[in-house]
Amino acid sequence: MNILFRITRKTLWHNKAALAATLVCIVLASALITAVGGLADTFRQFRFDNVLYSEGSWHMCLSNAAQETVQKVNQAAEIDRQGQVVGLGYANYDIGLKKNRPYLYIAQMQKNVADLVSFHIKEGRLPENDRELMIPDEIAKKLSVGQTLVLPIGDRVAPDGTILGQITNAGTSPSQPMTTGTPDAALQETFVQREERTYTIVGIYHTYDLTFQQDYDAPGYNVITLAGENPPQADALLAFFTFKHPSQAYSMREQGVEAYTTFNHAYLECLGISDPMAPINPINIAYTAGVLLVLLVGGGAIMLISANFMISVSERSRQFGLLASIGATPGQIRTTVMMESLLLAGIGIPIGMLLGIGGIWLIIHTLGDAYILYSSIGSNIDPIYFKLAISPITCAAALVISLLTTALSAWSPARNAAKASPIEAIRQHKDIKLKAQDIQITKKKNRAIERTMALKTFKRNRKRYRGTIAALTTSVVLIMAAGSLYIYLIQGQQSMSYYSEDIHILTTEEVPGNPPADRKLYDRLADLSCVTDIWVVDRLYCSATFPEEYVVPLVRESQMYSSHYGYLGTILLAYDDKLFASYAASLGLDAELFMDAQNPAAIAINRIQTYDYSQKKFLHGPILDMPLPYTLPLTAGQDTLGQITIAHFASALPKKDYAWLNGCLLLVIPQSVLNGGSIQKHSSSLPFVCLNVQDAEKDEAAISQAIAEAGLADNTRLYNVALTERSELMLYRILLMGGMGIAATIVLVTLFNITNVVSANLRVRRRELAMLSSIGMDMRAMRRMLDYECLIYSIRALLIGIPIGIAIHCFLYIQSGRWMGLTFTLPWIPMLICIVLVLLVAWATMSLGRKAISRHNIIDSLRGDCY
Amino acid sequence: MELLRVSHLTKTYGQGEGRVEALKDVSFSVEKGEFVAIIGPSGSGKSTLLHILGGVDRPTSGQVFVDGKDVYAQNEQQLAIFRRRQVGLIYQFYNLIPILNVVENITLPLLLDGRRVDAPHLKELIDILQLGGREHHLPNQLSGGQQQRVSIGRALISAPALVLADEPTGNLDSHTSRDIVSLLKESNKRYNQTLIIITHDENIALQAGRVIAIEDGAIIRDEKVKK
Repeated sequence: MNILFRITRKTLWHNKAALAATLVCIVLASALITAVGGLADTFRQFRFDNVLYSEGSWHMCLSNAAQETVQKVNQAAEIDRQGQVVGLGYANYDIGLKKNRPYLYIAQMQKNVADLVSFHIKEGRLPENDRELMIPDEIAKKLSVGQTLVLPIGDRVAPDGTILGQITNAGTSPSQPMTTGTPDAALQETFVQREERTYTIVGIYHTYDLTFQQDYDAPGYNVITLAGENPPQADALLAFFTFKHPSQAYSMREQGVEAYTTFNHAYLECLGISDPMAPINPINIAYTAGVLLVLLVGGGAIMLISANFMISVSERSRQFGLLASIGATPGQIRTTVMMESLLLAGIGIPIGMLLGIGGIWLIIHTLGDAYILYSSIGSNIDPIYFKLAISPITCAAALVISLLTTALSAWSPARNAAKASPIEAIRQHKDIKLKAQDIQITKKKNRAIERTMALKTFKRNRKRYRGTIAALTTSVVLIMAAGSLYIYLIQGQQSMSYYSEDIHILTTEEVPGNPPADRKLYDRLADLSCVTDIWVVDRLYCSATFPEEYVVPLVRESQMYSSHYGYLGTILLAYDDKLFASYAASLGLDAELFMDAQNPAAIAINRIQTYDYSQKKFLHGPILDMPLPYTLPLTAGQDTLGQITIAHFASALPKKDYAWLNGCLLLVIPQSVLNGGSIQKHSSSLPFVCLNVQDAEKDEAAISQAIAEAGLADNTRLYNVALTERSELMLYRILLMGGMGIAATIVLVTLFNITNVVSANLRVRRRELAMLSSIGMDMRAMRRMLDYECLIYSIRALLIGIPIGIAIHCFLYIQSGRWMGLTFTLPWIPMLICIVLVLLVAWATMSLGRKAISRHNIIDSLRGDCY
Repeated sequence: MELLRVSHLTKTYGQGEGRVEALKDVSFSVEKGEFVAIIGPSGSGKSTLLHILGGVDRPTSGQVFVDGKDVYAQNEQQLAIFRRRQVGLIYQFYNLIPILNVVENITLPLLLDGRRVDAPHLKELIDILQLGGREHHLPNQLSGGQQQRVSIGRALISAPALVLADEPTGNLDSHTSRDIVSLLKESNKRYNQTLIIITHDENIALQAGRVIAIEDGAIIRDEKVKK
């Protein structure tokens, strides 16, 4: 083994070009493998940090659950932790912030709930006994830490004696039937006091947890005190559970738990468990994508490194033949090549892994303060920073995969080397005898001879060129794959933006007799210098009736359409008249035709792009196929809202709108028509004032101030959509940067590979070319011959690689592009890049190599030692 | 004692119109310790014969027995071991491993066999080969004659029963050629090794104990040299 190691070491040292080429491939391959694993780890940790911050670590939550139901869950599964929030009752204490929220709701929280839910103490601390209170930050402007409150506590009672509850989206509980939680003047509820308690405010909290946050229709602000040590007797307002085996969470559905059950899907996904009822399994998608990426990178790396080893082995075929003639066994020759791969792996893999980790760091560093926190209750965002996180397991996996990749790459070349014939190694030398006399070059230059020689060289050395073509084909495929990845990432990013506006403000209530809140808001905000665009949109959720034959078959079979009633889910989008007019004009329509409030006419968006749960497939394309104009009734439940005429079909809204996500028929009308009286507006219609501003982060304060000055703070809710979308897309943007980094590295590797393959091809033929020079072939003829050869194997590589690249492109579309709603197009640009790169780089390398060879002495080349 | 027996050896290259019969039914035997010269014009099949005897090329048909063992009944693994233990091949163009120095090239067959190098034996060989002081030089730092001596050293280090030399002096000047032949003869006498040399040089042929003449792939003459 010692002599073999010595031969290996000396071989590497003496053949620095081949060493460098293979080493670079190993370094880049292991960098890519590490980067993929590291990015996955980093993303996972980032998401985990975010989910933990925003959702908490609970697995399942029961709302309004009787204690018997809680016990049923305890018995059905192995519980790790649990905690309950039990309602003590309402406190008749009007903070004076909102008219529809005149109470405080005292919730008694068991101690460990704070560990399970995403509570964030903004000031003070958690309550330590049942006389201390923690208040939500929403009411902190009216109350403060240290303040003492004497609270009359009791129940809200409807005239029929029903006790009214806090949570509106819950199911019914056997012991405490609930109806709407909204104080309804018509109900004439009364507050029935049970007791009086004195509390000290010790903390102010904020939570993003949707199960715990304020329901905006709830009549009381949730203030929290500590529950006693004894097990609760009353129904649990909220009961949180974590399971020893988190996979048990979703099986609780089958347990027939009689309570409203919610799952912390995001947290469970972080633990690798996805909802079996979800149409899309994000974990499967993530793992599939990860495995595909590793296979792509690993497979490409194997082919590249293998090609380099093949070239290196073929350059040294004479050495191997000589060793065989002296008595080296095939196993010993194989061992030298495998030793070479392990030696190079030992140097290249650590460097590559460091490069890979460094690459991820660079991406994060470039992105700056990258953070994401999705908040549904406003822009009260605490940043969670994106930071490098690579686990030891990932490092070990990257090391093992890189080692395996290198070893697998060397295996086939090693076997080829072992087959080297001693007699061919001996004969190669013996055939060369340089003649003393000069040989005249014929003056009549016959260009066909160079082409013929190029073709014959190619045909007679198919085995050698197989390696060259394989390496070039790999480069083509990798460039195409990198291009496809880039295209889908970019297009995917564009498809994930659902809003045109930076900020939208929901107007929750109109003061009778005053101008509509949205109108008042519009007038006030339109004057602000930071506002670059402003419009109003009102949404009316309803159903429209269509006969079956007017609905396209795909939609007819979907959950959008009820064939029994002929109902098609519809959203009426009413834009302010100014925006509507410009929209109609852009479609070549006369806006006046749509302004008749007594005879409403609409532009229908005849395009759908949504997932249909009933058919378990994505719907793309038109919704209706019918003659226009068409008049139809609009209904909401049993109520008829009015009639409307569809006058025109369009394919896009005037502004991007999240209504698009609902998978409904969208009808666009002017707001004046919606408010004109012929269409009945029911409670689900709430107008939004939408703004584009100069800087979404900085200008929000000015907008909030303007709203407060207009006296509309109580009636509005501001959403900083741009910040939310930016932070949501931040992950995607990081993925995009990572993908681009990987794509760029792949292109670099392929360029290097093309250069190496072509120049190695020349090195191997140095003696042959010297022979041609010795018999009188001039440089121009040699250049033409080599250029023809270069063209032959480059074109072959393109003819094989491009179809494979297109197949990968199609595969990526089927796996991801389709459900992102992207349109399939052939990857023309990657194809063009491939063609240009391969031909240009191959030709350039050939030119440089040719010049290098021409500098060598003919006789030295003819003697042709191994190197 | 018979060391080498060649029985109906045939080697054919190519097919159809390109078919060439390099060896046609060649049969002969060589005693242990014999010095045999093989002569013949270019393309007569001398080198082909030598390569087959040395186990580096397989015959189309026929057998080669070395020390009673059929060489080509062995698999590739056994053939490699045969090449490093029982045969020493010397080529016209040396065929040294350019990345290994003089000592490494000489001891390569032993090292491939996993055997320890006998330092006194190695020193003796280096002295005989007049390579003292050049032990750590690479082949490209040696003259042609020195390279050929290294090649001879490699062939002799494992004390093979059979030494085959294919025009060992073809690339050397006359003075060096004489030295090389002397070396070979000395090792033939000293180690009682069977030596078969291919040569164009009549002087060298006459120094052998037996001459086999080959022409067109067949033995046309096989006679002892009269001293």
